[in-house]
Amino acid sequence: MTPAALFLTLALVAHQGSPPVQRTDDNFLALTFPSGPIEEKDVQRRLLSGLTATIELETKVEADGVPKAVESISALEIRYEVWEEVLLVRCLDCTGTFASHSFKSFDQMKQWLSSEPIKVASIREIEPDKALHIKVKCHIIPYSKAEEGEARDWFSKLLNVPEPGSTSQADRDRKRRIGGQPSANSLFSTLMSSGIGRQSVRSYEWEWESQRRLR
Amino acid sequence: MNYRQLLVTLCFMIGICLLFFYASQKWITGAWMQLALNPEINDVLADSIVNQKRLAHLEPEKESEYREQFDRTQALLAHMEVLQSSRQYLLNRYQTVLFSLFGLSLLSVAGVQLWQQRRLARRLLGLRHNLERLAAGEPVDFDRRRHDLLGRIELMIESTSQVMGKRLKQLELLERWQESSRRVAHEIRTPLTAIQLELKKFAQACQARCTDFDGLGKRSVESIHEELGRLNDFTDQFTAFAKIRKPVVKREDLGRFLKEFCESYLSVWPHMKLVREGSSDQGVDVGMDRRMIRQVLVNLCSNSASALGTVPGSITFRLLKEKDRVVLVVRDTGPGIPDSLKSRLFEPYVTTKPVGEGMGLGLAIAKKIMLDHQGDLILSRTDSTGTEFHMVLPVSEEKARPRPA
Repeated sequence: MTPAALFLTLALVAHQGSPPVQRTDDNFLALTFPSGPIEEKDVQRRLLSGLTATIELETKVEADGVPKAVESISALEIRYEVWEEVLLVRCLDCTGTFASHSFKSFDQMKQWLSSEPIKVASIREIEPDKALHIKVKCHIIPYSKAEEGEARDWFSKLLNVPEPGSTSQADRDRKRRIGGQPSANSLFSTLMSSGIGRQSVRSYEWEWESQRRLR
Repeated sequence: MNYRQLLVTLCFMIGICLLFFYASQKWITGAWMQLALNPEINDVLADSIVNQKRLAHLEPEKESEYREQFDRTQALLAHMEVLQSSRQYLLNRYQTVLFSLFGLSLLSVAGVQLWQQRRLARRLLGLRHNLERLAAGEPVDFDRRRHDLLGRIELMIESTSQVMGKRLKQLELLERWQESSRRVAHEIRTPLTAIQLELKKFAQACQARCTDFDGLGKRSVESIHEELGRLNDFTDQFTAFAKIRKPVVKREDLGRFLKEFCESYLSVWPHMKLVREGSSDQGVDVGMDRRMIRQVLVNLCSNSASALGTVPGSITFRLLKEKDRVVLVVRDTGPGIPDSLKSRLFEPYVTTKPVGEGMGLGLAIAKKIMLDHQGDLILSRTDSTGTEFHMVLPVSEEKARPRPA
């Protein structure tokens, strides 16, 4: 499977059972995270790699008679602490509220995800009897911004090939401090290290149509 | 090959090279990238951190040590994972950098090649000019010689030019001697022929016992005397050239001298006006020999009059006083001097006149006189509208004589 976006469309119809999206009492749209993506082997490997993987959810809600669509972002930051063997999950809902959880195993986290809906959009402006068209895009990003920066620094240091005579990284660091002149080598390392970018490795898209009021 | 062709060829070659490089670099960079980002390394690192954790459980007393190693390995694994995720972007970037560097190198090589070609073309053009000059018998001139093939060719051309120059000079000298011999022979033969005819006539009269023998003899003697006088004058010219005396320099007012000259020689050349311009009348004291300077002026005027022929014209004199010298500008309205004579105008036996009308010694004598005055005679300008000579004389250092009222 290529790292390009994989589109998985699940068109759930109301009569096939209860949909994974629900309207909460405080007028939010809550999503029960589908288990499909995290059951994929590659996604599982990335979630357990020790890096801080992010599951980003872009939600767009359109309703009949409402000219402006509601758009919001929520996210799940998942990091596996290999030494402690715990999965740390930080949930950021559409209200901007963080909630942290830790799980002893991957299955435990999966169970939590299937039982705890995440608030993905505020639908306060949309009347309850309106039919909704909900579109959720899910991106799996394998590492965080901070990890990207650390990897870039490490990589650019790695690319600064030592001159004959200098032996260690310390030598190179000292020379950099003394000299300070940008060389062709540093230009190359900048060019190369800027090739490290935080991109999603998997993308999913879900759409739901509600013919009747959601409860 | 012209530049456009060269440019097209270079572009084509660069295009081919870039295409080949683009096609082949994927294998090279792919292999290096595979080596650098081998997924097995990540697996081994992952196993390693698990093992370190296990070891820490087995040896709790060394837990901190294992934990440190674990953290280091995990950090490395994290970096490697990030690189793995960006593998395609890194590959693209690496290929772009290599491709750009290779392209830039090719462009630099092409630029240097174009510059070299241009320089070579310029040198070849110079070589052609010099070959043309060599063919025309003119001296060659190379700016800077380099020790390459063209430099050696330039050296050969220069050597050839020197040899040819010597030969040309010898030939010119020979030609000049031939010309002067022709003139001398002509000048001598004319009176000799006349004398011979007179003697023949006289002999025939003796044989025929002519009635008017006395009258005929008298006329013949007169004619022979006349021709002998011409021969004498001719030899005098040679003597004059061979024994130009040193000038007896006196302080003279050149303006006044010029005025007197114009008045005295007004009627000598009836078709030519003698004009004085500017402040020619003002006192300009120079050291000169009057007779000799007059001889120079007469020579210049006589040449101008000969050049004008029967066409009316003028000769203008103008005095220019400079810091430590005086320049007498002599300008005529004649047809000018041919280009071929300009460079050797002041050499002896050089003349534009036909054989029998002059030996070409006048300007050579005039130049010698002016040089003997510590001055000079310079051909300043000559074209179809006239000729201009500059007679340069040094200013007299003696105290000015009171001018007569």
